[in-house]
Amino acid sequence: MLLLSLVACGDISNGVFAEDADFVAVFPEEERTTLDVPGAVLVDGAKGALGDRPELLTTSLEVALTVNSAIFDILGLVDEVRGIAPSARTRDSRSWGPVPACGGDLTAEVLRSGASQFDWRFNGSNAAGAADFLTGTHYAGSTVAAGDGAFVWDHAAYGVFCGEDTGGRLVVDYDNRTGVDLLVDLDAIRSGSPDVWDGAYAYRFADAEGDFQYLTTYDFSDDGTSELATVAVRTRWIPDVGGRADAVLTGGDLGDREVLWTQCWGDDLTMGYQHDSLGLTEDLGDPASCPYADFAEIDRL
Amino acid sequence: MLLALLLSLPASAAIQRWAVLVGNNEGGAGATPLYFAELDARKMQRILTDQGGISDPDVRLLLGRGRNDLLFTMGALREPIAAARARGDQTVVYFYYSGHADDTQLQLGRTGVTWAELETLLEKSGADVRVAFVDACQSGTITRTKGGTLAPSFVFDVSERLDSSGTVIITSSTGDEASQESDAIGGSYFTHFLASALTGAADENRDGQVTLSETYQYVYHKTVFETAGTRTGTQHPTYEWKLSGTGDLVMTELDRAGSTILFPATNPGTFAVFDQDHKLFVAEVEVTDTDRRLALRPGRYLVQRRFPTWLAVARISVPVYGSLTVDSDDFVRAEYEDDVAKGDIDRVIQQARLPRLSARVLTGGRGFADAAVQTAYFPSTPVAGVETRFNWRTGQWVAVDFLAGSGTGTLAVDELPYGIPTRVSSAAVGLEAGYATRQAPLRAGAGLRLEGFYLVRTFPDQGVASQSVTTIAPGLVAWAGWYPGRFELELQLRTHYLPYVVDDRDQGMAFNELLLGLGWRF
Repeated sequence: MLLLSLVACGDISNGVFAEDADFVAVFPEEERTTLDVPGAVLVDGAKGALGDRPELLTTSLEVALTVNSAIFDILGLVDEVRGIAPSARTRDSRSWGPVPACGGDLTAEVLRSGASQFDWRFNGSNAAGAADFLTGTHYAGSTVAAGDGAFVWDHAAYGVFCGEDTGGRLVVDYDNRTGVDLLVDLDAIRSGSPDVWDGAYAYRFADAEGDFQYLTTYDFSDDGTSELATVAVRTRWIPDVGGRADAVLTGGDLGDREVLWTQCWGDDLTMGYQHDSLGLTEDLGDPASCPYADFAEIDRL
Repeated sequence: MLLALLLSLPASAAIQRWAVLVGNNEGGAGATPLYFAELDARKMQRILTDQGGISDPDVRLLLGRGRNDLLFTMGALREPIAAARARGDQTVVYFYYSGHADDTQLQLGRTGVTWAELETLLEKSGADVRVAFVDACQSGTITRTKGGTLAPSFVFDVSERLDSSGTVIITSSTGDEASQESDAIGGSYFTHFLASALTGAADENRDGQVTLSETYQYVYHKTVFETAGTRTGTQHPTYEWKLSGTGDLVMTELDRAGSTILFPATNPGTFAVFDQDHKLFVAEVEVTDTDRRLALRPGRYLVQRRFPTWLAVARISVPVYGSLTVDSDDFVRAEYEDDVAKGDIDRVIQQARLPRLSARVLTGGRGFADAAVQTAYFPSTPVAGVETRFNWRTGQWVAVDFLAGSGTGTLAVDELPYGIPTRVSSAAVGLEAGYATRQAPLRAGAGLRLEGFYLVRTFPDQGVASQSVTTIAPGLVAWAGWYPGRFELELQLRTHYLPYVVDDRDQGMAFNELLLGLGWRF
């Protein structure tokens, strides 16, 4: 049998196809680029008493779901390409398409540089021209997927490709080497209306702890006419244990005052503690019930 | 007291019989294959087991076998014979040979056993009486008889007890004569009359027993008479008789078979009996002034009486444990061209005359045995090709073949959500050899093969260069089919080991080919 093996020669291998998985892995995917805040779904009802869903948690979930909705639009397009075989392969590149989209052709390409860098882009072309509307750079870690990098969604370019009145861009910096770490920046995103969406969001989930930071506004007088206060929220949680949200409110109805507002919840996501520095809300519960003892301001935005 | 008396009596000695029956259609280099030698051996097996008092396990039938098989078989008889003699039984060994021979040896295919060796083998068997019938050209060499010898004037008493010991050799011809087969009787003349004799035609004294002396005298006279007019010339059976003591050896007993047919003297003539179930003539009997009885197995028979331009044919069914009388009323007139027996014999001849070389076209599929390999690397593909095979009549065969094929499929690679479209094409040259069952309308064979194997994968629209492997794959092949004549319809199954490691996968690299073949002997 050894002798027979010596007379066998050839180059049969599925290695080139198996490596497709590495090239595809540089594309963003749901588990690595979306925000997973406790609660999963929004709940209506009272939110100011012990046993209610804490308002800051609800707000954090609302913000996360909104950010996710923007990212899901991108992932949907990426997944269309992920599900088809490359149309061209070299040792350091893969190309997909052209795939019909928006009345034109969608193509995608991943180029590998060195051992770990992958530059990739999605391009739309039609009679009006061609433009990259999704680009990214990924650096492989222990595996290709477990790496870090950034991608940019050019909402204006995509609108040109698809004939829509859109603008702005979304930038995601991510680090998936030890968990999920995202910095999401929405810059003047608009879709078919003058309203634009600006925002910055920092999300991290690693070592079984979550941390979500963002800026939002709040109408303390709740009259719909006053200036809105700026709210910097930092939400931290431990799955199946509980969490704590700390907010710093400034401006608006508050004038020069600053309010530090804290809410904590247990594993059932109901409020176990509440306190604010101006007494604007009712003090509730025992601070010892908080899984995090100290107030923590945002530090990544 | 009575019991003690019985126990003190010596046990009565029984006669234990064994038979070694050898048939080989093949001779040495240049010998024209015989048609009926192996059939003749089968015919003798039936008679000796039905009427000769030999149980099936004590009959060794060697068809198409060589020297080593014969030496082994004869050697294996020594132990049971010695055991029987130790018990006080008297022992008889029959040896029958039908095949080619020359003045030095029996030709067992390409091997041989010399006449001297045969005598020694008989002697060394240890049996009290050794009786050999040798139906072969120049078989008289063993009896050192150069001319025709009339049958001895036997004067032994016929008795139930064998009081003789020694060797009797009866040959089909002298040392310088050819022994002949006849298409008309579907066998050799000598064995035809030997079988007839043992079936009852030689029972001259009508006592229901056919003795060795009766057998020889019948076979001698009938063989000489029937071969006198043949182109090859008269064939004279000979004998060598080295028996001491008295008594004749009873070869067959008609009542032992249980079923007999009776030819009454009221319908004289010469009748040939053809076994329709086994497609062979089993006996020929001449009826003159007294009734004649033949012992037959139950079954369907044709009884023929031949006239110059027509046949008288009786279709009979021999009952189990019964006697059937064949009267003149049972016969109907038939034309020679409607002779069923001749048709059956012709088919035997046709099979024997089939050329040894066959060629066939093959079509089927090739696939890997391991489903995972098939899914990830090599989808099954259709293949087609040609094969030529050389068939020795002894059952060995060699073949070479060429197969090529191409097919498309989709590869499923781990962790990829899409399939990889591929086309797999292959070409292979195979060399194989093995053994097959005897030539017959339904046959099967098996053997080893080596396949020079080239396979290439291409990936349309994938931007990937083609990949190939070239290797030699060892394997096994089995085939079975229908071979009514020159035409062949065959199913082949081949399995190979691919000695090539793909992506560190060292298991499951076996591939199979299932093929349908349409062939022709030429």
